[in-house]
Amino acid sequence: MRRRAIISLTPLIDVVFILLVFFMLATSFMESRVLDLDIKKSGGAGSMTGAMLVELRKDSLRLSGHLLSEDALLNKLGARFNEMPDQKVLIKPEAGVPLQRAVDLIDHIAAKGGQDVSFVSGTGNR
Amino acid sequence: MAFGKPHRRPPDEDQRVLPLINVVFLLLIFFMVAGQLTKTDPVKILPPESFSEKDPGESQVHILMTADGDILINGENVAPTDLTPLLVNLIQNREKKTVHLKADGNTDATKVLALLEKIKAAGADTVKLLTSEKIPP
Repeated sequence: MRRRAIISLTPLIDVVFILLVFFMLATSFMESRVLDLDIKKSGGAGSMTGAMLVELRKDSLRLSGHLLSEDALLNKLGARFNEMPDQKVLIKPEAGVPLQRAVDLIDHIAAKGGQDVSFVSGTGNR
Repeated sequence: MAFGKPHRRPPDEDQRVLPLINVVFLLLIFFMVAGQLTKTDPVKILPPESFSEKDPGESQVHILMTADGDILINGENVAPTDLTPLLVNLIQNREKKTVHLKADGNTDATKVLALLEKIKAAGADTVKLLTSEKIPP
């Protein structure tokens, strides 16, 4: 058996451990995804015509002013998308609605086949 | 190497730590290859979950919005009054006018929309809302 080298392994382990800890702390495994956001001004009439307006309130949903449950609303939109795949949908959240709910609604509408979903600003509450 | 044979003298220090080094090296390589080094946000933000599978792509303008509605642009806190001039300044000179917006899932949606309007007004072509992956049921 050959003689051990003069350099011992302990400093190597030290360095490797430090590198390991660095990579463990600095890497993230959470991959981000994105959602394209689009917003229409509530005043601009041109882009709004023919669009379906979904009002997202704290405890209810309204489609073009009619109070509906989420399932009924999604089914109605789904039926509409079957006839007109490029039907525009506008979402108007009420103040106090968390962003997660708005994103969920977009997801559900997209799952029904909605291709053109955008937000509308404006605080006008009826 | 004579495995199995009884050692006449106890193995020296180096040989005892070799398996340890093997494991640590493997872990190190795993973290280097599998993880991605990302800049951590100066504030805690939990982006909304979404089924969207779009890749974020590149962007030079990163805007953060905390659950309380505070706004940070490229890591620095911005007062609401300075927002528009700063945005215009940042966006106008870029070739690709893409903005990444990372907002907390609990932020008031109307606040996000107000910010979105300002970003669009400042000249951004596309605004991408960062989301985290949601596993389909």
